[in-house]
Amino acid sequence: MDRKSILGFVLIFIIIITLPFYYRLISHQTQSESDTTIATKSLATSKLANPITPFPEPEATAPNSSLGEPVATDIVVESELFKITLSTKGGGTVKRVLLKKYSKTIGNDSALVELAPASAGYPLLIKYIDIKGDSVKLDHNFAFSALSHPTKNAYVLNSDDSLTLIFTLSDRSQTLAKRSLTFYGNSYLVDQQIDLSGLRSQMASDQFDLTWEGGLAYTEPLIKDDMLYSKAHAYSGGEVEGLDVKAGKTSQSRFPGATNWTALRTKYFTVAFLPTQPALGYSLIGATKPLSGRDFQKVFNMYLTLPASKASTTRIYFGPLDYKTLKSLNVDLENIMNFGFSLIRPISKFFLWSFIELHRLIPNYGWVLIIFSILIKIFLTPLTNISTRSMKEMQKIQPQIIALREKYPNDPQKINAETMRLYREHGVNPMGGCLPILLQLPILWALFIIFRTTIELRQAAFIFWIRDLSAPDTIFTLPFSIPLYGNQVNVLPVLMVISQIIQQKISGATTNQQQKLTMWMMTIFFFFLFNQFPSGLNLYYTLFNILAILQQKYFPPKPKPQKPRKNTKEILRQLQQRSRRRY
Amino acid sequence: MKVLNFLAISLIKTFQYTVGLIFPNSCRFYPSCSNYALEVFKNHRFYNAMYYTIKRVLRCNPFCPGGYDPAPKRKD
Repeated sequence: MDRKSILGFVLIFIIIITLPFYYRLISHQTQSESDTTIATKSLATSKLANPITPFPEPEATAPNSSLGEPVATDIVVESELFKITLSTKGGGTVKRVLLKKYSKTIGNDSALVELAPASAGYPLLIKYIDIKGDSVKLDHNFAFSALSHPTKNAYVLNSDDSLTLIFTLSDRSQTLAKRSLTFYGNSYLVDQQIDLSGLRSQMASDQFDLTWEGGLAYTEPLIKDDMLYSKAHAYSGGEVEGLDVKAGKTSQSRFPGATNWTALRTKYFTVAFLPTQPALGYSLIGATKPLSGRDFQKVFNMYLTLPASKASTTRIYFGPLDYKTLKSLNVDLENIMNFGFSLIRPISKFFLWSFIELHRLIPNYGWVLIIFSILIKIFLTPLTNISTRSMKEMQKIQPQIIALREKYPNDPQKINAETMRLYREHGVNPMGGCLPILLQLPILWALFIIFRTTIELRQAAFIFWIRDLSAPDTIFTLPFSIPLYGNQVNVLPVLMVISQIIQQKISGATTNQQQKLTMWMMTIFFFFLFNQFPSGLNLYYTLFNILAILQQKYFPPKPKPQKPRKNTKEILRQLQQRSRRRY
Repeated sequence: MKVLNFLAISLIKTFQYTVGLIFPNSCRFYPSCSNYALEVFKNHRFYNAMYYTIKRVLRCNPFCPGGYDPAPKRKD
């Protein structure tokens, strides 16, 4: 490698190291700028049904603030899957949603995954615009009763039980609003029926919004992952809209037409509104709240516009982004999951399916990974190693290649060109070709997606120090952070790099000094880059390298005796000669 | 057109310094497919270069003898 390229590499390295500091320097300015834009925007839109202010704010409560029960009570509904705390405020709004099958950190069953953030207050409410044009939020205390159950403050459901809670808001003479929620012991779905017929005389139009305000809570210890994957989605006209938001900014998406569903997601969990009839429209709003350092909480609000003229049924899904469960809902909600772009999607879905199937046989995802990587290797070997190499021929031309090297000692290009010419003349070629390599890339890419985003691998332990295949296998944390590398010292990236170096040595791909140096540089770069990747991916990569080493050592491509290809002219000539002889 | 060519060239270079290093050399031709593509994108119009590159990569499989195959010269 010459001086210039070394200088280039050093410069790139310095840029990578200093970039975060530079961002920190400039981020202060941009933040104050965007604050003012929020202020002006919310002024401009404050008359709209859904002002852009992301956090719940006190609003004009009507129809009459003396309405409803004086005190709000909490009701807890618990099953094997969830523990949901409702409040009579707002007619069964959600206060807490705990998922009992998922804990926040490994081996700590007391800290369960919680979907509704504590700061959100009462995210699940009904909103409408009254005849004066004001936005009204129904956050009164409703009266509540349970269908065919005694009225209690806590219910425990067995897996085949169901429970319907009915919340009503009434004036002296008539029922104004009625919401019923049906819970099932074996499902993350809650059926919801809303009847606002008593309020129609006070509503400006025949529609109201079902709201989820305050976003979803982050659940993962690695906040960056939740930050990356948190999004708001809506499905209409067969297309999934995805709304994201950048630090210190706001964003929104509206559509006043038939909407199949809306959903908020984090890395692994989702809350979705699934109307049984297409809704009248949706509105999604995104904003951020700063957390420590450069981290921030994405706060999404979703509003699903439903008709008020008839009692409408909207199911609510509180639960994991688990492909099988979402697929079984039959509403295409699985489209909000990450499976890569359209060409890769079938491959990654197939991998996920085979992962789950293999996991049934072997109940540890680490071993599943090992078997899976062996299977992939077996499957890919014929692609890369169909060798047309004929040992005899290779031996025959070997002295000629050596002669070439002596003839042009300072011209590797000429040597390569002449060697290729020799191979061709003798009908041999030791290489597998580029096409097979390119065909492998989608496979690796699909695997990468699967490791990063599927909930099945979440907190899946392997052996020894690897306790979570979806997170780095940290053995200790440094008191300071190295850019790109982070502050966690992980073992598998080290193993991965060592196996890669050995593999490169054995394959002998590099011959000249320049390539060797570049390779070293890249290996070091990969070490830094892969450090924060899921340990499952690093485990797979290490295994793949080890398998390649074993294959090169113990199963070298078998020599296949094959005649050198004759060109067509020669074959034609021979055929002609034969035919002449015959006649 | 120039912009597209530049984009393609930078993509190929990135490929060479990332993916190309994970996998050992495996091209059956000289110059290798990526170098061939670089050469073609430098000297030809985008769509022609695309055509040459795809054609070359498709040929670079175990059922083709391979060998010395320089990038086509521009016919001007």
